[in-house]
Amino acid sequence: MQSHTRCLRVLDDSAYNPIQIALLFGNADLTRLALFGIVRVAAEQRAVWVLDGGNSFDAYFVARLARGWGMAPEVVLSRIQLSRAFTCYQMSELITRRLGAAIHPSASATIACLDLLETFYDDDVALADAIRLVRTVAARLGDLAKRGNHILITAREPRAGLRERMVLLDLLKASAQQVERVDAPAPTSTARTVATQRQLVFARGDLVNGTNVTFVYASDFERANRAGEIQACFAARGSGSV
Amino acid sequence: MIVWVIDTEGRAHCLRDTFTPAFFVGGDPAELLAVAHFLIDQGWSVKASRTKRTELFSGHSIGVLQVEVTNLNLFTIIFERLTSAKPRLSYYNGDISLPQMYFFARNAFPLAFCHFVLNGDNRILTLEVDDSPWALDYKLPPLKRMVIRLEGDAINPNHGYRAPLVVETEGATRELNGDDPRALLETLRDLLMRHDPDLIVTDWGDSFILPRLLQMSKKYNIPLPFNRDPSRPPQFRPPHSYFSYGRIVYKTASQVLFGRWHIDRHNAFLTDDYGLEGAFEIARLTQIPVQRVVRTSTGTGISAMEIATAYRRGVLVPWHKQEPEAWKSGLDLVRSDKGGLVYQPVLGLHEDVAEIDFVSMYPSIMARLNVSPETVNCKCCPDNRVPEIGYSICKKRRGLVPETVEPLIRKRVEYKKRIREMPDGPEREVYRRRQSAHKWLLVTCFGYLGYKNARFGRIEAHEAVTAYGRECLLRAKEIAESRGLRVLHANVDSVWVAQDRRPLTADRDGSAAVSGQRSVVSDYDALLEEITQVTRIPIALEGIYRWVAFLPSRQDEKMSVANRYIGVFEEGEIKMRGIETRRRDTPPFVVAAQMEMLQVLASAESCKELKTLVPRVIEIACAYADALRSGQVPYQNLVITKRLSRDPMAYSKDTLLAIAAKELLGSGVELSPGESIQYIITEEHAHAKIDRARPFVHYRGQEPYDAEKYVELLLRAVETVLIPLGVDGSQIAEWVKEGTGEAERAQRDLAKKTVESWGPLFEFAERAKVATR
Ligand SMILES: [Zn+2]
Repeated sequence: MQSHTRCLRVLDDSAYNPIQIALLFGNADLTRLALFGIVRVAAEQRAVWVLDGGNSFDAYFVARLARGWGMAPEVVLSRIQLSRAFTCYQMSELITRRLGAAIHPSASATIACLDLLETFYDDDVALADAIRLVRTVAARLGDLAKRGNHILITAREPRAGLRERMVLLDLLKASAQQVERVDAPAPTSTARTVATQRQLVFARGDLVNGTNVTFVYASDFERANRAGEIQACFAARGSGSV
Repeated sequence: MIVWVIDTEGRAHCLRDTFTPAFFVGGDPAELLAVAHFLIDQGWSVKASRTKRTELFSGHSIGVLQVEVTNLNLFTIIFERLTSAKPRLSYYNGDISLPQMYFFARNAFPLAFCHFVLNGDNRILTLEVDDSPWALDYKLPPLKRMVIRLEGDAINPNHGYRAPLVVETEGATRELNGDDPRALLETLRDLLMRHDPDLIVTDWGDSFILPRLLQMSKKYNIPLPFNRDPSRPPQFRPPHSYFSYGRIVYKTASQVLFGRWHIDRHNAFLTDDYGLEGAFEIARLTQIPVQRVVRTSTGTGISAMEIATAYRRGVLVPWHKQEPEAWKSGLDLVRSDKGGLVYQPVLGLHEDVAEIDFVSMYPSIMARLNVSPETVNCKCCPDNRVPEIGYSICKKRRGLVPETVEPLIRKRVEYKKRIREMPDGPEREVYRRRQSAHKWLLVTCFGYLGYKNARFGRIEAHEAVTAYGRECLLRAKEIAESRGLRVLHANVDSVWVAQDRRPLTADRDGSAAVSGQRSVVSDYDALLEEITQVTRIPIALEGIYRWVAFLPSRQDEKMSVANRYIGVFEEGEIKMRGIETRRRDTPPFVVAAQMEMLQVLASAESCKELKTLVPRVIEIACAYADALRSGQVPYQNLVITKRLSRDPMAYSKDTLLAIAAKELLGSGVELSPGESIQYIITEEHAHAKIDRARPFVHYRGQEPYDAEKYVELLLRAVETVLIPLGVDGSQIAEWVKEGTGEAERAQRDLAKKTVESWGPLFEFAERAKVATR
């Protein structure tokens, strides 16, 4: 984590914090990295506004992290306000209108935009349109920063075949005071092991009755991969409900 | 608009109709005025007028500018120019396809039976539709068919397969000799003109046959009348790969014809399950032209039906989905972001098990409980809450999605009823195919609530549906248990129940410890009725299994997994999920072996009898293993089909798939992520990687295949079938060990195809290869 603390410092609670907008980019699991910062903020009894463009916010990871730091996961999770965008038009609407309406106009808010460019990397969206929208979004984030809000952005680079969309990342880079690249180490086989274990087994008194209970994420199988974590999360709590 | 019509005698007519499509622009009055001025300044032939339409989410009637475009060819161009000149305004109905808009305006649909009044110029004066998409029985026009394909196995010619061109027309099959390109083109031209087909069916016509033939036709200046409409060339779309739900999808090129249809069997969402009958049914219901219907996913279909509902209601269809998710806390997310509920199956073999399924559960929830993007979290109905997640659902406004899916569910139920009541026969098969097509439409209508391209999708509606779904399953389980039944497994919308007793345990020697008596599973009607009454969602008996085996996970034989089971219904029908036979990457040889074994097991009336059949299954396994080891298996049955998950060169580990793909690349074939590759395992552990696997198209049958590797795959399939009977893998391997069959490898069919030149059809392919080399 050491090398990324400069960017996460944008989330520090201080009126003298010189960083207003920080951008983490690269091919590492940036959401996970950002979640360390987000949980820390929530643990300090501050609210965090999370805008998620990659459907990547992982509540179970947050819960696990919170517990690891001796916090009640419910408390930490309830301090996080989240909205997911599945199209770049939704993301633009979220940043340019909804965010401003939601945060307090005078207090300084902590904002995290996860996978901000994901929806803009959609090749169904004309590049010119994407550029125009990212410009508007970047300008709006600049405004919010000027008004004392602190913003952490994560964005991965476009896939091969969409390299011309690199310009979108450049636009974001230009709007941030702190920019860092973080790349993932080579993949290991443990990731695969977790991915095969698709079950979330948990106890919910009335449901157990000799049968295991599992949730399958029919809409999003990737999420079911978090099985291992979820299990750990509830095992530590004895029993509970999701 | 040009409308092609086939009359009752089967003759095709090209008619013209005057049609003025319109899109809408939203904004404040001053902005709309500026748009009107802009349109005038551009000198486009459009008519702009102020009007009112309904906005979906608020339900309010809003003032919009209606822009009618008189020249159809300019509709898309004008819409694009305007949106890029004034990107900040709201646009509606601008990207609905013109044929669909035409159908909306005329209340018509593809394959509808209509009466026309024409003027002498073949221009439509009146069009009266004497048909309904909801009709259960309807007549299809008499269609003349022509099949164009390559001789032999349907192997992808883009991967190097070479064979002569074959043309099939009613009753006649002709092989076109390719030595003389002119003669080939002229023969084909004559066949097209003489038979004048309504429908051209091809294998690889989109990506290979039609493009090559059209290239040749251009080169030799011999026009091929693929289109009935001579004024336009076929419409070509290049191939591309894209990401969808986190995986890469490859879409091949397409060749769409005017005045007749082209359907490429290898580029069609025509599953064996619903075929052309189903595709026609989807076209009628969705108002999407047939050539597009077969080339797009069924998700597009349901989206089109929603758009039609919106059009009917005067609801604006937003160009871009802008409404983001409402803010929710991390805790709310944990509560709402879940899928279906699953109770892991009780591992092993069970007798007399009933499977009960909610009928189209998610669509039924939407229809019955009014779940739709605009009805979720309404302000006016705080008392009507979704269980577990607490969203409100409107009781005052009928949702757009429920209104769309309800008649579809009804039609499917009606077909299913007829299928149950009818004897086997062609008519029953037609109904079966149509209801199977409905099933696909309904499945995607749920996925589409949350999907990015879903025009009327909204994540909260998706979450509400799954929450209701979990509640329904939970209630069903409780009701079954309260009636003294034992729930063995429940999976999203299905519940497996049996009389309350322990699972059967099997000994190695094949005898079973059966506790309790064989129950006569009497009447489940009361159970079904109570569940339907409590949940308000209909549930039906899928069937009663004589026996069902819930199989363990491949990774851990003590762990049960959902959707991996084998069962035999009382009538003898086999149902299986998650086993080799159902997997796309299982070689046909292994599929045939496993099916044969299952058929033997299906004859067992009870678990006790089942165990006596183990020796027969082993006999079958031995015969298949012998065939493999003696080289008697036709190599076509050994082919393994897998999808490239990335660019072939991006595979860092040399898997068999990567090796085969790289060999294809080396021979000049272009491959894209998402494409399927076929290969044969030649020697899995060969020192030289290239010897480990060969692309199917390069395999001529002379070189050996890796018999022991295929035996391994076979044994795995045997184990799947026998593990619930207490027989494990090492035992099976011992029984099916080498040396039981012929030691010598028999002389195999040598490749029929040793010719090196296949004529001009492939000339361009060869040249392209040379160029890429
Ligand atoms: Zn309401």
